[in-house]
Amino acid sequence: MDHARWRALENGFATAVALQGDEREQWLAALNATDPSLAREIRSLLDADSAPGAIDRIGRQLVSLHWLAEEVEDGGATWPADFVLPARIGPYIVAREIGRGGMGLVCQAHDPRLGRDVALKIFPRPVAGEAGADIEDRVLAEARAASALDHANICTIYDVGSLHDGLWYLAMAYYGGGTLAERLTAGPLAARDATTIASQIADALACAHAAGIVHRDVKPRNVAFGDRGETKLLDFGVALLRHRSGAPGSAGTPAYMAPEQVRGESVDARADVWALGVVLFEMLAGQRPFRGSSRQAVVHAVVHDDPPDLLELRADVPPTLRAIVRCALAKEPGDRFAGAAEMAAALRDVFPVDGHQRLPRKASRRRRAIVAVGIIAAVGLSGLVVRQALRPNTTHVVTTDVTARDMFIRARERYVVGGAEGTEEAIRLLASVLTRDPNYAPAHALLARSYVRSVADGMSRQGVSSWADTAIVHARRAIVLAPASPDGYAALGFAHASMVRHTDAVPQYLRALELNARHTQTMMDLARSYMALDRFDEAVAWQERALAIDPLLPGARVTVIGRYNVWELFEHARRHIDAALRLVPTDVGVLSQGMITDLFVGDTVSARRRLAMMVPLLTPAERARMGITFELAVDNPAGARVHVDRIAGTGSTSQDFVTYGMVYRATGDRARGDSLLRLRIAALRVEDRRLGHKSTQVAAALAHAYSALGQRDASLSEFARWDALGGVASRRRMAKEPGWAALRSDPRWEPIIARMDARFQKGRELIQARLVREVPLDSAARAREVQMR
Amino acid sequence: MTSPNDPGLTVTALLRAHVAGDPDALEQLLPQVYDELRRIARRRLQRERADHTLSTSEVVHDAFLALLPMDQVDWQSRAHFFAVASRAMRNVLVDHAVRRRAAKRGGGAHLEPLHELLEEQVAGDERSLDELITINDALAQLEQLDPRKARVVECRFFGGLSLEETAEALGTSPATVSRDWTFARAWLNNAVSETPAARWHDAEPGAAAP
Repeated sequence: MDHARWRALENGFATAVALQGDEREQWLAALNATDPSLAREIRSLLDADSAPGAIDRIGRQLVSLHWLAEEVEDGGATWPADFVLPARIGPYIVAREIGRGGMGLVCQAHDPRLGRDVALKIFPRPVAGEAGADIEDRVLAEARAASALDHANICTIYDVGSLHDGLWYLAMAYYGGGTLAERLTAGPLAARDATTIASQIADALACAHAAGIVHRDVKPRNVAFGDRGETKLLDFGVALLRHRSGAPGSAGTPAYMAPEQVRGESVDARADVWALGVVLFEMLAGQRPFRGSSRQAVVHAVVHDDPPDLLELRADVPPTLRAIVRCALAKEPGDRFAGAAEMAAALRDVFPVDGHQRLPRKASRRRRAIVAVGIIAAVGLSGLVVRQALRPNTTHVVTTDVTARDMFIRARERYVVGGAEGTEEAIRLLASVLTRDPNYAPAHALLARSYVRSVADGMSRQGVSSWADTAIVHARRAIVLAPASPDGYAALGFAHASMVRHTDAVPQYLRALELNARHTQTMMDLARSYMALDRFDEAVAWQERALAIDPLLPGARVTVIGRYNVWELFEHARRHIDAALRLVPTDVGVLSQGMITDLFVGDTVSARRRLAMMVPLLTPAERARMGITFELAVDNPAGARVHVDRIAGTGSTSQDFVTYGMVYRATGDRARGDSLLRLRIAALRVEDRRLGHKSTQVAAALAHAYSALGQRDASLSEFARWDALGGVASRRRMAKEPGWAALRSDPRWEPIIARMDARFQKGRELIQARLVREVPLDSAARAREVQMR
Repeated sequence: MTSPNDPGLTVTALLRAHVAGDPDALEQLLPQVYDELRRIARRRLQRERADHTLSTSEVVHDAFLALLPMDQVDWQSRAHFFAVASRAMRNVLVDHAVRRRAAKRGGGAHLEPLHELLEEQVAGDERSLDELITINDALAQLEQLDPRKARVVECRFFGGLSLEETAEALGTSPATVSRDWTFARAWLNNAVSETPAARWHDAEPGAAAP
């Protein structure tokens, strides 16, 4: 067959297949007059199109028939085994069967008119005792219920219709990503993925609950994934069937039914909460919480048994997630979340950094749902409801690009891991994410944070201020794209803070916290800015709140202990040290801060014990650093020198140079010591320029390095600058800390330290006053606190 | 993925070469994907046999995850991979059907576990094996007449890809895929029914015995 002939056949068929009945016949007759062989070929193709052929038969065998096993357990009616799926249903070309059960048969089909795939749910013919009208009611009720719920995570209904032989069908969106049941066959999911999926189901259910609809059949098979991985809740059929007929809850899968549901009592939204709890458990553990070899055994387990402890099945489940599952699986409905909305809120807090799935303006979605119900009531039974018109404007807190989303998750992990490499990798990934989806707000926010951190890590050697500006641009973009998400504001605050613009940073942080009152990382960032603004009392209040919410907030505990050490509030430092070590006894950061606390209050025994605990967990460089700190504090430069020699500069950072320099000088290696101190001073000068000569910390570090070098005048000048910048210093600390001797020997030191110490005492009192309100110490601790001073 | 010759790298590199038009790349790529598809099918069927069988679409998607390291996959490679994997899946299934039929007829070919497992899928009865082979022959004819439609059939029928995935894999629009698929389905059904299914049995009497 030549090419022109083939095209003629192709075009002729396309034309004919779009025509119906008489029109098609007339067209074919006309063609037959001019080109009978073409007409014959087209007719034969049309015949092949309308009947199931080998392709359809084999195609069905190539795919899974996985519902069979589960359906037996469902206890539902089954279709006659000899039921043959028609090749065409209404306007749709049936491609393959996806599943069948008592509630209907589902197949994938194609809509040639709109050129898209659909899922068709075909309802069984009326059985004995059920009139045809009941079926009709049921189909329309389900279509209306699902159409009424306008939500991104609820399956979209396109169409309902009936066939001449009494078969009713429902056409809905076909989601190519398979079902959760299929996904679970590969084993449990990552805690984060499980949480995301559960929270999207919860959002969908919250929408249904707000419209007064209880789903009643939440299970993995009724959760599908779109082509881009988004979760879709399917099948509101059971909801309405039960609702209308008042049938007892005997059908369905008992494994997902709440105790009150298997007992046949009336159920409400909290039955869906239970089912979602079971699904979440299954996603995390890879097995159902209530199991049994028979339906009766499962029912018994649901009603009487406690679910297994998730932690025993899976060690890496976050404690909050475990608590959520427990709450959802409370036997008494009154002990569960009151509805899916409440559960959704709890799920969103499991991974607090995670802002991507936060959908703003819940209240207005609820209003929309109610409006939609109104419209459908007005439309009545007239069929197809155009839902797209009701769809809310897209918010940019999600991306439809599944690769971009995967990359974003990896970038976030890299960012959390941190370090120069982690940050660099995060930046690289996020840049790719944004080329794929330039409107993905969370990526902008995280990129802003990563840029800021890369500057802080000293990764970027040039154009530092332009990096910070870039960070600000991305943070603002995140805000524009998702004004109701806290992430953009938090990132903008972070960027301002990195440029020592703390007054600009604070309002951004506060705005972020208005939008999410439990954003603990933002609380810690805010505390840092308050510290820099000398609003010490606000700072400690926020850091205490953050740790009260999340006792394991990465890095926070160490920061807080360090801060209390600096303010010489050792009893509060110890409170956090004890709390942290109870949770993680081998937390190196906490142990090292604990050692510093001990050294400050002169508890050498405890300091040595903590050092011994740390040693096996440290890298050689860290071990040396800790050893040096300890030996210097107990005034043993020779001991410190052993450590310095052992690591011989490897694994050192510029910050270590002052310490090494002091050790070399104290052990007779002056030239070496001086050169290291000079190197450190050069690095600090660069940093000073970067920060516009405004940083008290840099001034203090320079004063310290010059003093260690024995350059009294230079040290004094930096010391005076530190004071002029409003610096705060403790006389007591400077008397204890090695390296300040040269400065202290200068008579001009006294008036300056008097001013700075006065500020320190004032700040300390302010913090103490606030702490009395926030976290009062018991009387014994208070007594120790006084004693330590 | 722990071998020194990281297969992921090779597959990625070959895919890039294939996208860039290197005619040899596909030849090298197909066997690798073919093996991976069989490996996945075997593993999944062994594990899930009790209450699950598998779809070609799942296997193809699993192979994608197994063969292409996520950080090396650009959009184009991903799309092309699915086209290649659908082709490989066609080979896997047809090869299986040919060998299976030979074995059933006492040809004595060794039955790999995959065969035994895929039995439930493809080889429900002898006729299915024959039909699959007949479809494949018809598809080869279609390929001569209209290569793009043959690719669409590979993606949709053998690869189990959705309309959108097929369009992406073949670098065309979903509307075109829809038109091609409608036509190709009718054409193949027609071609297969024109081929007397009995012909195979006539040629080899007694072959239909279970």
